[in-house]
Amino acid sequence: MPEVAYTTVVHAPQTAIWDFVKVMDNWAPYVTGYQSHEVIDDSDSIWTLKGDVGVLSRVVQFRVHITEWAGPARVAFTMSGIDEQTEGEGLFVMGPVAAEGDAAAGPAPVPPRKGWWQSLRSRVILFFYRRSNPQQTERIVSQTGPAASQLAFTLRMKSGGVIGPVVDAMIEPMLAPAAEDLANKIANQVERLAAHGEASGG
Amino acid sequence: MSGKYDIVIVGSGGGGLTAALVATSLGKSAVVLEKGPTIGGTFAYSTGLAWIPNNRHMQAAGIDDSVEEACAHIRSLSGGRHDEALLRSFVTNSSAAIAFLEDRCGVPFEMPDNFPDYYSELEGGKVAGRHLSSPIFPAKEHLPDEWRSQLTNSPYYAMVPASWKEIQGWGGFGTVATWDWTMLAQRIRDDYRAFGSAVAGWMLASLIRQNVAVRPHADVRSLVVDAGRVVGVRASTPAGDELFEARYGVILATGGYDGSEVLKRRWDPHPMTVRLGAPTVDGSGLVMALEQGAAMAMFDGQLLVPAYNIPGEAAADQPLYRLFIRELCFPGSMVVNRRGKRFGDETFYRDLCHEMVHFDPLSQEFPNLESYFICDQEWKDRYPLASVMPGDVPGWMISADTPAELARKIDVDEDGLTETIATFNGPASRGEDPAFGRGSTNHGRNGGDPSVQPNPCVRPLQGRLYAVRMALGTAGTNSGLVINHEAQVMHVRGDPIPGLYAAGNVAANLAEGLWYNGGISNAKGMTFGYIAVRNALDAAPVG
Repeated sequence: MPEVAYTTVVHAPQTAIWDFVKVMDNWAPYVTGYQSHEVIDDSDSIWTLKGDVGVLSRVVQFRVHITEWAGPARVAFTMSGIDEQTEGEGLFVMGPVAAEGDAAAGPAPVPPRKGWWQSLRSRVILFFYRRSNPQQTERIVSQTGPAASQLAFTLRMKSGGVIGPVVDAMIEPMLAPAAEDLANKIANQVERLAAHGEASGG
Repeated sequence: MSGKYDIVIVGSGGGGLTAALVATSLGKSAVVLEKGPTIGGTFAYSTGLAWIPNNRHMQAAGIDDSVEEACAHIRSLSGGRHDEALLRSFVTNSSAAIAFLEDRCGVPFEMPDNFPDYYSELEGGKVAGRHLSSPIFPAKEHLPDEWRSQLTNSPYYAMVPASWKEIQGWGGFGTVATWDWTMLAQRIRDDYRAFGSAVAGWMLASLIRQNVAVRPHADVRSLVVDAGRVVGVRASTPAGDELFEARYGVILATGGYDGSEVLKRRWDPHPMTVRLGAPTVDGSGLVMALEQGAAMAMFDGQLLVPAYNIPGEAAADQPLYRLFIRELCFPGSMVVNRRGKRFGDETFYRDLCHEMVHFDPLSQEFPNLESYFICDQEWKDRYPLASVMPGDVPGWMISADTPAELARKIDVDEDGLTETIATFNGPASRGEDPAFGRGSTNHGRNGGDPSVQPNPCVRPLQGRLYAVRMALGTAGTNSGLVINHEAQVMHVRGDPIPGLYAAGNVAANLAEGLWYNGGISNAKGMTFGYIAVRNALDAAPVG
């Protein structure tokens, strides 16, 4: 099952991140390939995304179900393809910045990124991903923000059916840049709102 | 970074890459100029099959063939539109070109089993042996990272990193449910390429090993002519306007004009088509030659293919249309028009497309242009449609329990479709299709399901029915530059244009006339790329 995790420091209080994340409309447009979403109720929504599968792209719809609203620390959800045999789950975890080597102080059990993520291949993929997605966000680190918090985003996806392994192999390289992009965009926006003293909640 | 080379090649498909390999192997310098960001053109989008008569692989397998047999086959089926000297040049040199690529350039080929000629039953036809392709290409092993990302991958075949020989050994595309997809997934992670991308990959790797200049993002805008001889090209590149001078010749290997809506509308007699090849194949080489007085031969429009689009699928920011050929051969299916009537042998796409572009002067319309693929539940349970695997039913696929209900959903005549299926099903229960002869050719049967007998392409349609809207696609163009047997571009007044050569679909179908066979476009590209360089080097160089 392809899985990626990305953690970024946010120069804003944890509650500010929560206030932003708890309103889906705030960050929905930051999801890579976002086309639209329709909120059904507090827990369920239908998302339409344009996803890259290797050299082709496809518009896909997912039913997203929130499984955990545990503010101000965690939001967990599952996602299920409507026309595609693809299932997934995601997790936002917010908390104080973890000291290096202090796993207990960290906000989330974020798996260490290693292996292929650190490989040249990934750097090449990230380069081309950014080149073809000019909206890709580099992290803009605030110099003046209040006490730092941490936002971690974990995403797992798995494709079913006969060709599921091949679909997984083709979407794997795109997941890490997508997770990084979403977390960075949320962090940048939360810092901007915090710097201007604006409420981010809906 | 302008420069002077022995051979300047415009386009990086099979013709351009072959020309560069031949020039380099003969000790000459070459540059390949590619308009797009990646190397391979439509060749890399393609099946990678090449129709090579009398090749060494079929000889090794004990399959008899000869230049005379292959020439007789094409001659009898060309509609009298071929050029005899060009035909002989192609047939004589095609096997030599492949042998040269294998022996001198390290580009491997192999012969998949069970690939009959389209017209294998007719004079000089073969039931197997004339189709060659390459083994899978391990890109990580043979290309530096910066070049791996510049090797075009096919939006049609990237999910199937397997060779034709392997696929035929696994039972063909009708058996995808039994393939080892975990192994194929690992090949994707390891960046193995297949089909046309594999052949282009083997060629590109050989060029990179030999430090040949291969330039993506080099958009050639004009030919440079001095005293009536083509001596170079001007190209727009990231470095600006560059001049590439050619001592021996310029080879146009830019493909047809299937990516140009303007040229298709001007030159071709049938309705507009959707493009299946690379978006860069826009007729630019053809236009540059016409500017120098080149002769053009008009043929029967384009290489028409049935196509379909999975809603939401795109490549290069355009809707992605897929070939709709093999699926039409499986039993339990048919194609109907708006009146609910069949109009051709679905197992032979050329017949079907010919009818799709039929214009009825009485009604002033194309009665078969809007058409639908219809299949039944068993078809859906057994066969794939691109990434839609057996048993999967995506929401975009229209279905119904009866022909009348399905007809209403797709706006087809209800009585017409009901009657068509009922009429088809009677003889289909005996494996017969008296109306259009599904499964009556080796080619059609080869695409069917061998587990269905007595006719692997025919059985009644039963149970729930499904429909997919078809589109008229183009995989290439047939009209193009007039060349002679040495691949020289001819002037409209009759003599060759000195220093100018053409290979592949930029040239007209003069070697084969109205005949066609799968793999002929790739074969012509490579063969005339080979011929062009060898003849160019026979001329006195410039400067």
